[in-house]
Amino acid sequence: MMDKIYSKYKEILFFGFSLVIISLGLGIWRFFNQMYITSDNLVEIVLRRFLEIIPLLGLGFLKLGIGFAIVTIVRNISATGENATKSFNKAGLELEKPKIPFFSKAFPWFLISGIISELIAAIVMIFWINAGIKGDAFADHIYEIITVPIEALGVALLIGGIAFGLATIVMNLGIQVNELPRRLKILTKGEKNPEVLDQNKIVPKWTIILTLTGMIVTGSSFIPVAIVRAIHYSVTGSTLASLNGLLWDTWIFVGIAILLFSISYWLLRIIKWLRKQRSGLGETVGEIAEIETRPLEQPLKITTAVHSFATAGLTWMFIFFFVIAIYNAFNPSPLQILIKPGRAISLALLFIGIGLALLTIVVNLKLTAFMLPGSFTNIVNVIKGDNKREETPKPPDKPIKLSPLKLFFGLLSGVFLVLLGTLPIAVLRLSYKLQGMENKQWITEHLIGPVVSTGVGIIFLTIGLFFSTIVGFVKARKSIISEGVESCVYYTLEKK
Amino acid sequence: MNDMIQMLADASEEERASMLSQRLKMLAGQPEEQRIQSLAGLISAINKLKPKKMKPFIATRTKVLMSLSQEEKEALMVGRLKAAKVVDENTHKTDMMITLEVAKEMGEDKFKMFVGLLKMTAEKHGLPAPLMDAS
Repeated sequence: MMDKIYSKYKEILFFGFSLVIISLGLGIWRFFNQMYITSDNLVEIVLRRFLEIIPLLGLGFLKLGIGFAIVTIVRNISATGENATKSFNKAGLELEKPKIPFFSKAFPWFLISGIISELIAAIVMIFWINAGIKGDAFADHIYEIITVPIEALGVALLIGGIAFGLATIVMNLGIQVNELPRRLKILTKGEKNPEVLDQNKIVPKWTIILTLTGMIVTGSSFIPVAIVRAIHYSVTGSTLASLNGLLWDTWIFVGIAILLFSISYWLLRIIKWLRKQRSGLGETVGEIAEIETRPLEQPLKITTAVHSFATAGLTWMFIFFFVIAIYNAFNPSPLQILIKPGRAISLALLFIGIGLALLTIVVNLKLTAFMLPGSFTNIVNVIKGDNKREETPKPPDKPIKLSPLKLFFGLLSGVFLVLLGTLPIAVLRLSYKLQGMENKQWITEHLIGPVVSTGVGIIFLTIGLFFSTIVGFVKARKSIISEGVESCVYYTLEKK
Repeated sequence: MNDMIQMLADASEEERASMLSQRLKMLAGQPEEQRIQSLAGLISAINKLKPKKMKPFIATRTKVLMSLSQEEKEALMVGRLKAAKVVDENTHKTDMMITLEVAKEMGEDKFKMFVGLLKMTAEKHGLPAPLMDAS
């Protein structure tokens, strides 16, 4: 049953995106309602609470869609390994079973728990709206205090689930990239490689620690504040103004930035294994079939840019948190208007880096799809005693042409919208503030959420579609490797 | 298989031809039972494509098939004719009809060569010859 749910990742992506678009429409309605029809207070009560939660729920479903696409990828890569192992076992190869680390077992549950948290936040929102309509100030405030930490926990679990899903891909791919050539050599040449694969070298520990840190920072960001605020409000009946909302709001973004940074590095590790798969298999085929192998093309320049964007994005977020958000918490100043645009710039840089990494992954998968069938044809011919050899496919002059640039431009349009939702609005707010129009300043601020959510929604949708493309290639890889190894084993046994 | 075929159908003609050529050569080298199953999967997946994508895909497949060695062509044709028993009748007929249609569009000589080879392979292996009407 779970497999059926995981396979519906595209539907989940589009459902999440539709929630984000509906929220944008309601955000625009709220803006006009506040600017020009201020007498309609009920609309404001409902929309304020709705827009605090539903755009984030939409983004939650988009993250779930990405996560489920990754689960599908993991299952197909694992099935590739299992099919190949079954075939090798038929030929009498004794193979060790890889150890499954905690994150591989846990990441689908992180995703499911994450969306459940977000759904709980949405249910609490209904009570919050009800309290607002009834004018019950106590319940209204308590519900507000409760929903946001639950939402933050959901964000941590969902993005953490995605990051650990990628870590699982890194682990499975790393094992296969190292094991497949070794096993093919054992099968065809009777060679035994005494080196046992060290699984710890496949998955870098520092990236696991970074992912966990990001999850803890994101998930815990609002909880201490919520507890202090709730106790204080229950006892005194007044809100605690000294707990600066923007400071804690930025703290959650620091956590998200750490998670996105770790995601960039998981993607870079996948790129490394995909290149090694081609070079390693190419060399093995060359050795078995005694043919000349072509060297791999130069790594794409955009891969180097991934490091730069990830580092710049994270550094920028830290600078903003420590220099502006903390400073502003103790010395309130007009600088606070810059906090949201500052965070948006950091996220934009991190997402561009992730987009570039995904482009490189698709290019590498296409090149893998070009070389795999020919490699197996050559090995099968050697086993059959056939002298015919397939030429190794020539690497394309411009591999970047193999990348889905349309998807990347989609992601860039999301980034543009995120920046549009903050920078110009910040300027508008500043101008209202300088003119002493405090009310209009805050009304304008309310537009930021829906516009930025739409931008992030477009980014998540394109990332989801990138992963959906990757699912296709991974399934193709599964068919080719499973069939290829089975043929090799069949002819080896027939020869015996 | 469905995703792989969809991916190839969305690719450019050049990419599709290059990948299909490698893939068909690999299938030709497979043990017969496995080849029949793989080809059955291939034609079922092609049958799920939208008509707009299906015909260009089968056209590329036919061109690539004709460019292979005699041995490879024969292995694939035997596999294809035997796969007719594995897939449902409608899938088999649609695939065969469009294959003949695109072969006809490749020119009279190539069409005759293709049909001749198909008939010869069927006779040689004692298989029923498929309908040869592309209209």
